[in-house]
Amino acid sequence: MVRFENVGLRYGSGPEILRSIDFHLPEGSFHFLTGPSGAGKSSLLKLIYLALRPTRGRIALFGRDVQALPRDELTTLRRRIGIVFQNFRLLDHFTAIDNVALPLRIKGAKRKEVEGHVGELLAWVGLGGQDEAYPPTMSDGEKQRVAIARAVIGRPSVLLADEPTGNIDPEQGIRILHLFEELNKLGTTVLIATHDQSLVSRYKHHPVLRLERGELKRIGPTRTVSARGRARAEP
Amino acid sequence: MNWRRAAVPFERERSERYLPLVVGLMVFLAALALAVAFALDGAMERWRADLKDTVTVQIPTGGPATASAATGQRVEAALALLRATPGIERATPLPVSEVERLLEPWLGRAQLGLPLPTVIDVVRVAGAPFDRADLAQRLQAAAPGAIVEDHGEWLTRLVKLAAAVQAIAMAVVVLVGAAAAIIVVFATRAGLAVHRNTIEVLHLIGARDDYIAKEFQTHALWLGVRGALYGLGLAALALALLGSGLADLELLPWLTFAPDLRALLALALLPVATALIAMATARVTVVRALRRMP
Ligand SMILES: Nc1ncnc2c1ncn2[C@@H]1O[C@H](COP(=O)(O)OP(=O)(O)O)[C@@H](O)[C@H]1O
Ligand SMILES: [Mg+2]
Repeated sequence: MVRFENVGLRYGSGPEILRSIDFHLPEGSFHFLTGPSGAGKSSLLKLIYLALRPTRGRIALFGRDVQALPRDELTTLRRRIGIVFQNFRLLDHFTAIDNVALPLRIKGAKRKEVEGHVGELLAWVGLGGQDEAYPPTMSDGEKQRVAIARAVIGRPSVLLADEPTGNIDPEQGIRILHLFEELNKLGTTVLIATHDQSLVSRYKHHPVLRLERGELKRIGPTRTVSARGRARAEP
Repeated sequence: MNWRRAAVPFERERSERYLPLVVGLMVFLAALALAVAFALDGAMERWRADLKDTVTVQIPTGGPATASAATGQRVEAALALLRATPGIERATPLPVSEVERLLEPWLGRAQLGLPLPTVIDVVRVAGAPFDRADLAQRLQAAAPGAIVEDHGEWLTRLVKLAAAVQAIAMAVVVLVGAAAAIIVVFATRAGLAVHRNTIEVLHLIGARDDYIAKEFQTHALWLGVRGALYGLGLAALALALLGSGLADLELLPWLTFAPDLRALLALALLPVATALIAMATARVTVVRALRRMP
């Protein structure tokens, strides 16, 4: 699904903040990406969701070398990746349901075709009655769940989350991790970036990629307890 | 669900509120320039028709002492000479009523009773050589006091001047269009900066450049249409006032802002052109900015 080979990244003419990164996320796997603040976790996610280009090395998504792809194809790849951004990045002038529907709307879907589905997904993340609420009126935990719904509405093959429990209380954090595990059971490849060690230790059964001083180490179980091979179904 | 609300929250941006006013001002200027160009077009057509090989000869009335019979003789002599001159197709004295009509704008109706000159309308053979000075000399001998008036020379100059003014007016229209495009470029760039976060989110969740550009170009289109309508409304008012003012004063009778079909069409196209310029400019600006994102 996601493969990095000898990837390096620097911002402008600064130091190389990611050095010789090599890893592979197999289809249906569930990984944590940890490391202290400033280690480069968010940068690594940005490389995967194609917000940044590596300064060296090779990145392949879904078996395709991203450096070689034309602009239009990159958009097609982005549509297969769901992103839960660090600060949610919801559109404040859109209601919860419009935010969730956005990835379908930009693909040209008609309102009638998606309305029911979007409503169901909001209910699934526990926001049944809040379809018409605007993000500025919601709690961080609620916003996070809207962001997750938006990330998965297009049934992505890969789900990336940047510090998804960062701004919310531990109970909400557990709920959200539970949602990710559910999605993983349905076949989605999941990668969660977090600096929260307690969170990682609570989910010991998932392998961990640890970033330190720009280098990546793999720890934890090498085999993932995932739903690999199981058919991907609608959440 | 609201499928029609733009993903880019333009309605929250207040710095753009003056854009339609600025565009309106430019459309106003362009509309005035166009109106002048078309008014001159009409005038030039008339002048060119006048210019067509016409010469007039005036035989002044010889004052109260001279008998009208003497004037009649001079007119006859002049007509005979003109008709015998090669290169002249026709020479006809204008009826008195026609002369009165021609003089009315200058003298008013009070002219009645004044000794009017006899005016002979001379039509030249098209393209034939014509020596004005020679004719004037010979006429002077045959009919003392006769004056040859060749409008050609000053009409030619007038037409040239009008054409130059027209060219300037069209240049004003083009420059105003270019200035409008520049304004839209800067407004769009400001919009891109203000809405950078939203644009980035749209881009990252899989919006094509075209999708984002469409939001901006639709927004620019309506700003352009609004501006153009303000400007056109103002121009219509100004032209109506100017037109009625000119008519009242009976000044510059050749300069009319009468609703000529071509002029109306050009003015109607102005908002369309403005909207298209705004839209195309916004699109190009946005697509170029988006290309800088990976
Ligand atoms: N846009 C940027 N420009 C320059 N430096 C950046 C930028 N984003 C991140 N960095 C730097 O890259 C390093 C890694 O940052 P980041 O990927 O955000 O780490 P993490 O998510 O692990 O906290 C930090 O030293 C940070 O200052
Ligand atoms: Mg980070």
